[in-house]
Parts: sequence; C-alpha cells; structure tokens
Amino acid sequence: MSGHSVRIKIRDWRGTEERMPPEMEMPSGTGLGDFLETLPLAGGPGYYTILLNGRPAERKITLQDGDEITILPLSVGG
Amino acid sequence: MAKKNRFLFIDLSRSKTWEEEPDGVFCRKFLGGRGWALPYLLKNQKPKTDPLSPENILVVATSVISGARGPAMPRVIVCAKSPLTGAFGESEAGGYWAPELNKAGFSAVFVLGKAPEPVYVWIKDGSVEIKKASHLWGKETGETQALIRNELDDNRARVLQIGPAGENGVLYANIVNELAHFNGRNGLGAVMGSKHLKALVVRGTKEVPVSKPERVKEINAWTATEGLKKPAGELLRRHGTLPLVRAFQEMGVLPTRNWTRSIFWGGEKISAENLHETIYIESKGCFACPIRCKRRAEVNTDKYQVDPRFGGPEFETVGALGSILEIADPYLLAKANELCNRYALDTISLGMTVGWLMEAVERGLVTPEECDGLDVRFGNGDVLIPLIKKIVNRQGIGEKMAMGSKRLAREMGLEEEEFLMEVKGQEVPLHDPRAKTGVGLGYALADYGADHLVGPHDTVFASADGPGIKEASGLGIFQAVDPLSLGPEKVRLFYYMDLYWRLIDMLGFCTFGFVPRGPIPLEMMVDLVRAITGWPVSLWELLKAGERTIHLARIFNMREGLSVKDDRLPARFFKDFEEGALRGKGGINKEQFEKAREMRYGMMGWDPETGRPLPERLYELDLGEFVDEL
Repeated sequence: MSGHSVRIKIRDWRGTEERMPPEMEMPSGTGLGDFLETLPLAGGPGYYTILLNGRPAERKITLQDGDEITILPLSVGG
Repeated sequence: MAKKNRFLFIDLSRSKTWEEEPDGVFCRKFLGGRGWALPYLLKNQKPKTDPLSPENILVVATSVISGARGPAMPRVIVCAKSPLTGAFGESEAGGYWAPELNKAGFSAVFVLGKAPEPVYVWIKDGSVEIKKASHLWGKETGETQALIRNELDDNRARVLQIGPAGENGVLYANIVNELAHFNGRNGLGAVMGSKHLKALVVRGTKEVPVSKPERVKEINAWTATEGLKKPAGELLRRHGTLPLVRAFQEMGVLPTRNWTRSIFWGGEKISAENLHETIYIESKGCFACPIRCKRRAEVNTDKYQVDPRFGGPEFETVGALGSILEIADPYLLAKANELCNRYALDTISLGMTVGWLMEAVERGLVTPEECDGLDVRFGNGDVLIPLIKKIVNRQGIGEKMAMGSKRLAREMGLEEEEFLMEVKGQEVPLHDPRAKTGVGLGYALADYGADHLVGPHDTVFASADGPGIKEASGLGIFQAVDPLSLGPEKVRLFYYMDLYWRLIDMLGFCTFGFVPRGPIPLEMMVDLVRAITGWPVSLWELLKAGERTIHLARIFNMREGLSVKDDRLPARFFKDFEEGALRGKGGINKEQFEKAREMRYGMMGWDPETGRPLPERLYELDLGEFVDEL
C-alpha cells in the first residue's frame, strides 16, 4: 500500500500463543471497529479490552496514521 | 439414582455428633451453601451473637450437586457471622474437600459450641470422630496437614484447616484445604479458631450417585475440549488471573499506593509475563476441572525459599502486597504469599491494612515508634515479612493490625480519615469501582462486605459483541451497558447478576467455569443440575433460589444492626483518578450512586429508605416463615 494507507501499531497482550504483527497497514479511512474485525481475535473483539492510544475508544472512530492499538484481556476479576 | 443429602452436626461443647436428613423440598428450594446456612442461622442463632463466642454457628457446606464429577463445581462454602464485618459471613474455596465430604456421605457440616481443648474432626465414610489436636495447635498449615495424614495413616485424607492466624483470632484469618485453596475474606478462620477446631478432615471412598451420569460425562468432555478453546477458558488455563496486572496498568486503573495512584512504577515486574519468568513453575487445578487456573510458585534464592505446595500469588495478592504497597520484588511477593498461606491469612485484608498504616505514617499521623520502630513506608519491602509475623502472633503493632484496617484506624483515632478503604469493615479488593461502577455497587451492597467475586464485572457487558451479551443474554441482558454508567440499566444488570452469582456460589460452582466469566453456557449449567439431581429444574427456579438468599442475608444483617449507612463506598472512590485513561471522568458521582442504591432497593422489593425487605416480597419468594424476623 502507498499514499492511501495508514500504519497502525499493535500491542498484543492477550497472552495467547498466536501473536499479532507489531504493525499493520490499512486503507485510509478505516474505522477502529472494521480494523478489529480483520484481526484473528478468538471470540471477536468484544472479548478483549481495546485501547486506542492508551484510552478506551468508540469503534466508529477513524484510524489515523501512527495510531497504537493495545489488546488486553477483559478486566473481569478473579 | 441421585444422592441423598445428609447434614452432620457437631456440638464441640458436648463432644456430640448427630446426623439429620433435610427434606427434599428444603434441598431443592435452597440448593446448598448459603442457602442451607442462612435459614439455620436465622432460626438457631440469637441476634447480636459475639462472632468469636461458642454461640456463633459455623456452617461448612457443599450443595445438592457436589461430589459428582462435573466441571468447575469443586467449591466448599463456609458461612457464619463474620468477626470482621459483624454481618453474615460467607466464603467459597475450590480444591478437593467438598467432593470428598460428599464421598464420605455428607453434604454439610454444622459446627456448634466450643471444644474445651483443641480438636480436629475425622470424617471417614459416614463415621465421625472428634480427636485431640493440642499437639497441632500453633503449627503452620503444611506441618499440620502432614501430621494429620501421618497419624491417620491416610495420605489422601483431605484436610480443611486453620493456621496460626485463625488460632490467634486474627480477624482476617482464612480456612484452607490442600494448603492452597482458601476460604478467604470475612475472617471465618478466626471463628473456627474460637471453637478450638483445628481441622475438619474427610475421606470418602463411595462414588456419589448421579441421576444421569452419561450427560455429566458429556458436559465434562465438552468443557475440556470446546470450552477450553473459548478465550476465557484459554486465558485462565495459560495465565490464571495475572493478566489483570497489565490490563489495569495499561488503563491506569491499577490500585497503587493505597489507592492514591493508579499506575505502578513497578508494574512490569509484577506482570504475568515476569512472574512466569521468575516465580511460577506450573499450574494446578481443582477436582474434575480442566481449566487448571491455579499458579504454583517456587523460589530458591539466597534470600528467599518458597515451597510450591502453598500455591502461588494470584492477582489479588500481587496487587494487595505489590502495587498497593509499591513493592515490585516478585521473590518477596512469593515469599509473603507463602507465609500468609502457611499461617492462613487473607492477603487482601493484610495488604490494605499495611497500606493504610503506610499512608498514615507518611502523613505523619502515626509515628515510627508506634510501629515498633519499623520503617513502615511505601516501597520498603523489608517491613512486609516482619509485619506479617507480628500480625499473626499479635505482637506489638501487630496486635492492632490483626483487627483489620477499620479497627486499627479506630484505635489510632483516625477512623474518620478519608484513606480508610473498607466497606462494612472489610478491606476493598483490587478492582477500582471508578472504572467499573457495577463492581462498586457490589462492594457497597454485598451482604458480606466489599468483595470482587460478588458478581461479574462491568467490562463483560461493555459491548454487544462481548461475552456478557453474546453468551449470557439468557439472563435477560440484551444491550451493552457502559462500565462507567450508574443509571437504571446498570442497576438492573447487577440486580440480575446478583441472583445468578448467588446461584453459582450456592451450588459450589466456580465463577471461572460458567458464562459470562467462563466457557460453560447457561443451558449446560441447568442441564448439569438436572443430570445430577434428577430434578426437572429451570433457570427461573434456580435464580429464585439465589434470590431467596439475598433476602435472608439482608434479614440477618438487619437483625445485627446493619442499615443503609453500611451500604456505602470509601470516600476515595468519589474523587477523580490522578492519572491514567480515566482521569477527568470525576470518579463515581455520589448523588448517582445514592440514587442507584435506592433504585436497587426498589428492584429488590426493599423499602427505599430503610433497605428493609417488604413482607410481600418475602411471601413471593416463599419465605413467609422469616417475616417475623424483620
């Protein structure tokens, strides 16, 4: 991809054997929710806590070049 | 054929034992655990009973399904009036003791009175013997278990016991089975110690009859295969509860420095990844459970040696002794955890009590001399082990700290200070209710004081594609609920979840096994109860059983003098975070919290102003016999 794409950094703290790539390129204008759907997240994105640049974010937000997504287990107690 | 439930009564004052067989309606209506304990306590224990007196009745229960080889159902439920909260006390533990009791022919043990000298009780295949335990009194849990097994000549005897903390009346003493499965919180170990009861030891060789064994086998097989593929099952099996450290740290909601901060400079050192590299050696599980979420730690350094028989620190311990105290040394945390387990001491209450003292010292409100000359300040791990020993042996400052943070603060004349982090006298666990308001409602309203396992956590229901909605909508929650909201939708969600969680606890299920926290679906849970008991139960009927106990516990607590003012949260939770992703949200809105509490009373059928259950609600729940207790 070239000019019409954005680079997204991924910090994967799911603790599973399968690891996400540290960075992915997506077409410009991709929303957070659409991006998450492309990832091989067992169960789907709702089974994880997702942070965009360190903060909770709505799925409809459009990703920007250099954005950082953190994938964490749900903070569900125990 | 399904099993018959038999209750064992032990009167330690008279050294007498007898059995009773409760009728089938009682068993089905109340199912087990707190459902069996509360009616008995309400009818047989006087209000305002001193919790450390012989008159406080200790109930060690399982349930109508315990003992069958089903998945995630190993738990033993201990109930009594709590010496820490003065309210109804309850605690569940996994392990192997509950199934063994059922294989020995009993479903619950009711302990009355007080033995003149220390004893333990040996229950084997229906026979019961009260045996002397003076030679065991004062010994740590590991040594006690080995000595008991040796003198009984039975290495498979299951020992449920107290340690020196319970013997010495520490108000947050635990009860433990298999050295690593704890009935923590509420100080029920001190109740057992006050009765001079060192241990309940069981051995059973009879299979527990099950109505439809093939169906139970199928559910077991599904859990071990399909269930473990689900995210919750896989994560628990691989990492236990520890991933929460990083999750909270990343969000800036990791309780740190007695809750004054929410990001810990040492967070990386206490992360799951680092603890697996430094102290953990393997994972263990409970009876018939394929998830195996329990960690075991082993350390062999010049400074510390840690015996893996005592398990390893779980998330709550890592937070309470780590980030709360700003201690980032994994080896020290492993050693402190091992010591607490040898003494059978609750690590959450310990951490919060030490944390309170550290803040009081740093604020100049308590002098080093009052701390026996120890340099009690955040980050100084050197004081942790000496303080644990002082508390357990009730020496010096440990005498006051053994009573928990609320009484410690009162003794120091500082009870009104805002940095006391307890509800109903029980120290809050490591989940910040400013990030999960439903957890906050749980802390405030739980009949047994602040506890993180009183219900599921808000994040499970945060999105429509999360496990709460996708897998547990059968509980009547169809739309996502914002973790930070405190509106009617949140109150309703946690009302429903309270019924469900009480059911899970009563049946001796583990919350990690069932949706939305674990992999096993609702219909499979109901099927499991049907297959074991042979009763054609429905989810509605089961939830009603859970609901009954919430009202009975409320009646118990009101008889003890608790009221609306006890359904509260510590002041610190009404203030904003100092840092992290949720800074600027303002903390919990006090007015919204009070409205939510009032709404919850209304949903329960309790008087909105007094929180008292209304008679018509009790009749609706077939609890008319308890109306006069109000």
